[in-house]
Amino acid sequence: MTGRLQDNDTMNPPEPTEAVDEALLITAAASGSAPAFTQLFNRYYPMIHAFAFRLSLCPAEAGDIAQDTFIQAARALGGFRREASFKNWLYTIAANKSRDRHRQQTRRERLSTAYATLHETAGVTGGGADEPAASVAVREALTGLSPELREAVALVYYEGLNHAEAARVSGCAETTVSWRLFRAKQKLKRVLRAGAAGGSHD
Amino acid sequence: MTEAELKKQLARLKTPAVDETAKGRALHRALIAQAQPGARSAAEVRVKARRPISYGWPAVAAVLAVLLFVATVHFRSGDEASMPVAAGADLRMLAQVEGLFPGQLNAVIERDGAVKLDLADVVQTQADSDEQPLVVQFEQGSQRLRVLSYSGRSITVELKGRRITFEALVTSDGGVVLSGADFAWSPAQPELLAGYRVKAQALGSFL
Repeated sequence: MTGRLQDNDTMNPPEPTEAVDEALLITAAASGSAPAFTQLFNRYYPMIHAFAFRLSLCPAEAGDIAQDTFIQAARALGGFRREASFKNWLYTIAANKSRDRHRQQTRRERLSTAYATLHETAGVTGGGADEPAASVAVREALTGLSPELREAVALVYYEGLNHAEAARVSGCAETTVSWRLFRAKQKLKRVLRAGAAGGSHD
Repeated sequence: MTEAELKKQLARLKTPAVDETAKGRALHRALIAQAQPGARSAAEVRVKARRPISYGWPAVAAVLAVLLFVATVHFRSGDEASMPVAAGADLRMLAQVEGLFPGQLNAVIERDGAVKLDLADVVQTQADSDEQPLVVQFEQGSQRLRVLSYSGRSITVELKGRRITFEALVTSDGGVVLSGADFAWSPAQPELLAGYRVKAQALGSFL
């Protein structure tokens, strides 16, 4: 045996892909590297913020859920088992945080207030005063869904997860996700169709 | 309304822009959470002090001198053309981690696709600019452990449940020798270590 490497006897490295970089960042962040965590944060914050908004339909809540998500992620990084992608792991935390907040009565009241002033307070809800009518219509339609149905819609339609992945994030059976989507689509189609027919947002 | 029409409708939902103040606050709080005691408890990272030049240094130096001589005499031939692709990825990874843990990195250890970091708990304030990057690989059957580090740093690996600490040193001809408390490895003396076959190479020539 020789210690030197021959041409046909190389030490194969991991592929220099973004996935490797991310694995490295996760490992470094789990070991306490603030720069590594900051890189992960900057990479995923916009995505999680958007997801949180689609769950809550309230910008203030979206900011709070995103913040809670990353605080929880920072504490739990060492336990991240890489069975799911890091992105889906963050989705799971965000969905849990969103559900936790829904369960709190004070949050419910805050949301109710926010929804009640939907059309009055520019910049507090939705896209603000310049939010297109089409966006308002969709947001109102989504508001009419229960949190579980909205979560299924957000994960599958907006985040592009398949039913199995969405089920893992939501902590339920794949058939449950399929059923929630079916129910959500029925409601959304009915509301959006009625809105279009009435021309209430044109 | 068809599925495609529904998707088209849903795509019209406008997502509000990220509030940079809220984002900054979230990052700040998350970093505090990351730094809190307990946050790192489950991390797959072993933290240990980088071994300073200490007891037994003359003996270690003598062993190293012998190893360097052996390596220089017997392995002057140039078979450096290995890892043409590996070197770039390895160097990039080392540079990334060194940037994340300046003065604190002992080694990047990859086992079966999982990467662990060997970090010192004391930051070296004076960087050794002449440290040469290197790679050491331990193989037994399908098991493989790759270690990326710099010449002269103390490295600890676990082989068959046995913790083995050594220093890897780049020789004048670009070879690598390993020196542990109770063993020495060189290309001239390629003995198995805990049953593992060892390979080592400097990455400096690819810089």
